[in-house]
Amino acid sequence: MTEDTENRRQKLVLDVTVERLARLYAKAALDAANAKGTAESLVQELGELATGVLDRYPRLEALFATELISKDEKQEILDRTFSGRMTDCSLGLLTVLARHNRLDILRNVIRSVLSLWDQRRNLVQVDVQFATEPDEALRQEVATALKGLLRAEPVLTTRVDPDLVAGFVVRVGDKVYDGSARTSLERARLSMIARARESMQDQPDQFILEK
Amino acid sequence: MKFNSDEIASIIQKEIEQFGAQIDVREVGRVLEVGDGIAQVYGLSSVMAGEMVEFPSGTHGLAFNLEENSVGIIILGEYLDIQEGDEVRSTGKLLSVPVGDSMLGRVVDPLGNPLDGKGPVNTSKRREVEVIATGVSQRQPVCEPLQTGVKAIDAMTPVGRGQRELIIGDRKTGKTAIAIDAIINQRDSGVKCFYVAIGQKESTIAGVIEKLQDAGAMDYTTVIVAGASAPAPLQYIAPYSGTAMAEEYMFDGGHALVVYDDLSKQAVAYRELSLLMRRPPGREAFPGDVFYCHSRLLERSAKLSEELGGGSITALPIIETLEGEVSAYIPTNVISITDGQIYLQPELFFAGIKPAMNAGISVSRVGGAAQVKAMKKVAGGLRLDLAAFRELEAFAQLGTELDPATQARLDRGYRMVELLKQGQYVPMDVVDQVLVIYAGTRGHLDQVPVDQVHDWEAQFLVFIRDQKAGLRQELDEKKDLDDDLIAKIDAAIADFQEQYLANASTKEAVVEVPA
Repeated sequence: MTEDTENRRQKLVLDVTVERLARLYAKAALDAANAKGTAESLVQELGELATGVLDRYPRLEALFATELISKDEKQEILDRTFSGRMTDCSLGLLTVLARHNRLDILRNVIRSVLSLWDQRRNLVQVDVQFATEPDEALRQEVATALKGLLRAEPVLTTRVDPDLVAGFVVRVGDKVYDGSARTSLERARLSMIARARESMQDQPDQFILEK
Repeated sequence: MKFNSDEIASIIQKEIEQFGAQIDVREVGRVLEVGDGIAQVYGLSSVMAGEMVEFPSGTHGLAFNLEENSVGIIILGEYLDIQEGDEVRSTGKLLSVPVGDSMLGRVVDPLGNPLDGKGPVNTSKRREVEVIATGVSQRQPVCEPLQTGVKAIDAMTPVGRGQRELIIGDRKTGKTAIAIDAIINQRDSGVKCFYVAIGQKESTIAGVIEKLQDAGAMDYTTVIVAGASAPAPLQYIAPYSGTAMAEEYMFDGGHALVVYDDLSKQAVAYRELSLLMRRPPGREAFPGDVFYCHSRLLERSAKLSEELGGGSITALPIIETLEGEVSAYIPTNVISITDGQIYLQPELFFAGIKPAMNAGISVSRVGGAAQVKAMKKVAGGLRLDLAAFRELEAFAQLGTELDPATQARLDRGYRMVELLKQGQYVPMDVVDQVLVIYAGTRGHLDQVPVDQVHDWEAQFLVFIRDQKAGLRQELDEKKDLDDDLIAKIDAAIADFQEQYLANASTKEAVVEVPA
């Protein structure tokens, strides 16, 4: 995933109303695809739509979002572009979004579909920051440990942040497991200050040689 | 001063030896929007209502609204350095404040941070700001007086330890003055005092602090300040912080007095927060739980049972009315919660009656249980006498000729009203109060001109202290009036009257002699 896409992904997360809407469409699309047995195709096609089409042709995304083009015209564009090139469920989703004038949230819907699909397969997106570039053995070790902790299959996205000094930080949804040396050292620093202050208050004479 | 660096090095060494890599587990969210003292956060799916959260700038907040897709946070501090997209972490803790003896004499904000420039507060003890009040079985009825030092209050609407007595009135009627006098009067009583200033002008608060310092009251008082320029969340939690600090003493068998000045402004701050959080507005745009906001605060003031140490918190909440409207929403709410109210009226204030207390509609639901026996005896009929006087006063204004008995009652009433007037920052000891009120109610002032009542009172008290110290001490020890003591007081008054009237006639004679 490119950094730009990642950033846009983070930004888009901040509109909760849109997220809620997107989740509705995503659930409906997945349920419809499941009933036909084409859920995997749906997910794959939508993933390719996001990375292969929308990322490469941002003007297409802008076209979908604009109010200047009527929904009928958008429908025609969809038919011309995607008809015969994707499954009925995928095209059906795009058609419904166009009909409801919701093509502007297409990317959010795709992200929700991917997220729901992961949930249904008991996959959990995990963001792991290391202080240095990890080798494969370390990745495996982290993945195994997370599997036991989360009782789900972790899908790791790794990053390197030298500011951590050592150790790593794991983020799963809203929970952060911080095993970095940076946080431990900061905790130790604050503890040192607190202990010193307590000792000075309790036994001030020990700290003063001469007045 | 030379410091022993070896000691400091040993602390650091211990810390390094005990250093262990631990996993810090926290829940995070992301700021969606921030402004006006509140923030909406996405995430924090397991945060609980009232849980403290922390922003990257170090500012803390409280989870106020738990909504479907976001969490509404009230920011306890400056919100201008919080940005959209900032990561917010939950702390897993409830809001707490530092408590203990090191808070006495300090001026702090509602989070316990010092504002007086005297350095950090040195205490390791903390108490949670929001706790559930003690239950019924953990309390006992109020039985011990808390002397405010104000004659009108201690005689007619006495306050006991563990009581909630509301001080209500329009602006500039002397509400804060009564509270300050009550604090000053606790000097030798062992009662710790907490003055919570909510939404007040900082200059006014500075004036109050100075007065307390001049009276030596800051030695046992903590001032909690959430001034007019403080964010609404701090104004909202200030009373709870003050109560938490007082509870440290109550649960330790001690006694505390908390003044909330004033709860009207706290209600306004709570309304502001609730409207920003899009909670449905009710009457006067206040949220539906504004009653609960005050009731859960005031219910924490109690007299504990002997099993729990017998400690107490006495609350003096202040409510400001507009144009005397005591049937408005917030005043009626707080009146129904408290154990009595002291009404201050601007008409009385401008007529020179200070404290401007309307004895007819002021009440203390604890009553005589909060009075020493001596005061109960002398003040027993005082309220009724004053009520009768008020009825007759109207006739006097008509200018009609009155029968001697009625005129005598009027004259007595004028003198009692004059006697109950009191200067600011001069609270009176209960023994002195008993003596002067006894003198007034037994007719010993009937021969004294109304405009000389204060002069008589002052000289009488000096006379008692100088020449009848034994009598005063006996009354102070017994705190009751038996026949023997009454006889001694009568004799003392008779002695004093001779001296006073003799001095008065000498002065007149001196005045009459031509220059």
